Amino acid sequence: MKKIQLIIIREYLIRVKSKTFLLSTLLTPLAVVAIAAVAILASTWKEDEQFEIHLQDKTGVFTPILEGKKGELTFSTQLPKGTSLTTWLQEDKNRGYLIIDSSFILADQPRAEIQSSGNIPISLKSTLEDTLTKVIRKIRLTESGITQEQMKRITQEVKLKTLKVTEEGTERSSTGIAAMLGYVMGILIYIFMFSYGMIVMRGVIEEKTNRIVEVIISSVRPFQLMIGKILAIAAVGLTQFLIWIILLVGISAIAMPMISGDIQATQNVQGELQNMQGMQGMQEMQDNLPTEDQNQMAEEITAGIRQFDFSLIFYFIFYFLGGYLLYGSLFAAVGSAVDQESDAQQLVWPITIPLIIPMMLLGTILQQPDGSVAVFCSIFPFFSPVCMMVRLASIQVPWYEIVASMVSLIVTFLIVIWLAGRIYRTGIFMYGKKPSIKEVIRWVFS
Amino acid sequence: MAFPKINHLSQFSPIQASPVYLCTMNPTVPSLFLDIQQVSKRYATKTAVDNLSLQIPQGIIFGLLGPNGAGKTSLIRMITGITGPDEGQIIFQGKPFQESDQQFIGYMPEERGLYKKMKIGEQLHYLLQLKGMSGKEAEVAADYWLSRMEISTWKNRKVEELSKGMQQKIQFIATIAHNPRLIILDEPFSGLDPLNSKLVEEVIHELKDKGATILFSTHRMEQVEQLCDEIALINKGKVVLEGNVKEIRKRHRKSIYNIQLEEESHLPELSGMEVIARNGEEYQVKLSDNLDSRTFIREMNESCRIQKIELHLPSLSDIFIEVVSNQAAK
Repeated sequence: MKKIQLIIIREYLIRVKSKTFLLSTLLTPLAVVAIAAVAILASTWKEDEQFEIHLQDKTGVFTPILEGKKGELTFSTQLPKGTSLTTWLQEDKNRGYLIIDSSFILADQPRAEIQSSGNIPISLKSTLEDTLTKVIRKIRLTESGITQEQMKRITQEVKLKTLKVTEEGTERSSTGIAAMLGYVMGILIYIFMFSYGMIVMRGVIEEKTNRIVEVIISSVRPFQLMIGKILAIAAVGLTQFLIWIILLVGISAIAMPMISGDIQATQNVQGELQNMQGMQGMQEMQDNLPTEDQNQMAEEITAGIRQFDFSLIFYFIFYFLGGYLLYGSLFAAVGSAVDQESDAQQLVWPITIPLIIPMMLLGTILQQPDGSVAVFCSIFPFFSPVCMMVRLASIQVPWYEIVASMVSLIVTFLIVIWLAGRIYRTGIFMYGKKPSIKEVIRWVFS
Repeated sequence: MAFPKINHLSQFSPIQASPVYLCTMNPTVPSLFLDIQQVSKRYATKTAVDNLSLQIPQGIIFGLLGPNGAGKTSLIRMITGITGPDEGQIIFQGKPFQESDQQFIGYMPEERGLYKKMKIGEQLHYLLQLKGMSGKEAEVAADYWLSRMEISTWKNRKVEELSKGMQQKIQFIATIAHNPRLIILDEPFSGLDPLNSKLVEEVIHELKDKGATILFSTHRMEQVEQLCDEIALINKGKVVLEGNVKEIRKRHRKSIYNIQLEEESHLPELSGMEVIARNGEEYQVKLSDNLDSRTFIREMNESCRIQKIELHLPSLSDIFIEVVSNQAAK
């Protein structure tokens, strides 16, 4: 035991003290934040480009509503003096000529036409269709003698509130956030199993090419060296988590009041806006600001954060460790069988395939976290670290499935570590020829 | 130093081996230090060590010789406990070898290896603790040997910054600093300049004087003759020759004489004498069985003026080549 302890301490310190560790610990959260920021920006990005529309409204109904509207779309009924329509359109691709026929309001199938010198973006097309539809709907409803009040009731959109039933009762659910959390945790487990597994493999190959392994093995058993290295790298991983959690808690302690304050402020402003719009009648219809949606989103986020289940951290650490021990020892076995990293490729694929499969099933599992595929994958030990994590984060998993998953993972990694140890003790003394998978398997039984 | 050759454990008595016995620090340790009994090691395609037996007394420098691929490394790995024998057993200090005995052994493999990114001091500290020393002991031992090997100033440097010769010295320290009773050195002088070779040689003698047994594997025959008390020549997994170096040379002498004549003196023609080499007045002759040495010397004395005449003892290198090529012919 004392020897394993010595090995763990050395392997741990040499990595934690290295510059690579410092950089990856600090840069990874930055990279995550950067990727998230890019994703959010990309999804909320509004084309800054203005689209000018020259309106020929033969009905005379649309002009008062559309003219003077501010935003990405501006409407005008007058062309600049001395310019023909064709030249005006050709001067700029972001210009369109919208023709609304006089028959438009009464037609069974109202059609309008837009001309442009460039391509009309799909988003613009649907925005215009949406705007015109709303206006025409409102006109027709008014014509049928329906009052403002009735109209509001008719056009009201449905909001679905999601609730989660737990043992403690019903609480505000955050389906979207939970699924996202599950997705992120699944991906994180995958990345960690893969990258720390590779670190183990590299460590083993390094000792082999350095030829230090023979010196060490004249003092300790091969299995002790292997397990010491694997455990030390697990400790490196946990250290990295701990630093990240501290950073996260620290940052959110500072940032949370700001975010919730923001949400509060937005809600107030939106409330006032709605009141004002209500008085303006028609204006309300063309304004498609999804205020309700945004409110609900904000509520979901806060609900998601408020009810973050801290047992998830425990599960995360368990499945990270279990999956890592399973795959890390396989990576150690591969490392022992080759002389250099470039030779490892052909032996690594039997490990990477079961690692990647759960990633391909993530979508299915997120859609049906209680489906049979999800249940199987979350118990099958080679897939369970990723799949169970996704399920745990997004739904209430029955306790017996969790127990089955954990037990099968523990049993499997014990068996796999033993097998890997058999390969390792033969592999580390094999130099030169690259062994085939068949040979490697033979070492297990030698 | 000559040692009584002990072939079987039953013949062993401490009195017989008294010269060794007296210089050991621990009198309860029997002087038949390492007894390798009918050991075999097989790999998928070949038998590396084939039913091999070897006895090594305590406190000597024992040379393990043999051509490449003879099974030396396989044998050494079994002695160090890196691998176990498929058959037979190894008796270490009177008891079957067990894992805990690894701390009494220091092994410097032919392919040297150190952690390149680790500082020398830390590295020695680590390797010595793995051999069972406490942190404090390892510290003291490392400091002592770093200064003994004249590399104290490099203690806080990383191994990758060192020259090959210096790395070799570090490796040597890592092998011996935990006071092992059995020190196994595979080609310890390769890569060392003459000055450092001498330093290592001195230390090897020091360790031997303190009672350590040194198993020394090499191809360099002149070093074997210089250093080793006993040798074993291994070929194809078997011991083909063993014993005291001088005795082996005597045993392998042939009726070959080196003769130096005075100037303008001529070598007579004798029946049964064949000149096998000549360089000016220096001759090397071989006698056939029908010419005995007394007759030969008398005849020589009568017919020419001799400056020097001596029996030619074959070098270990000659014996090595002869034995190995005889085996190959079989």
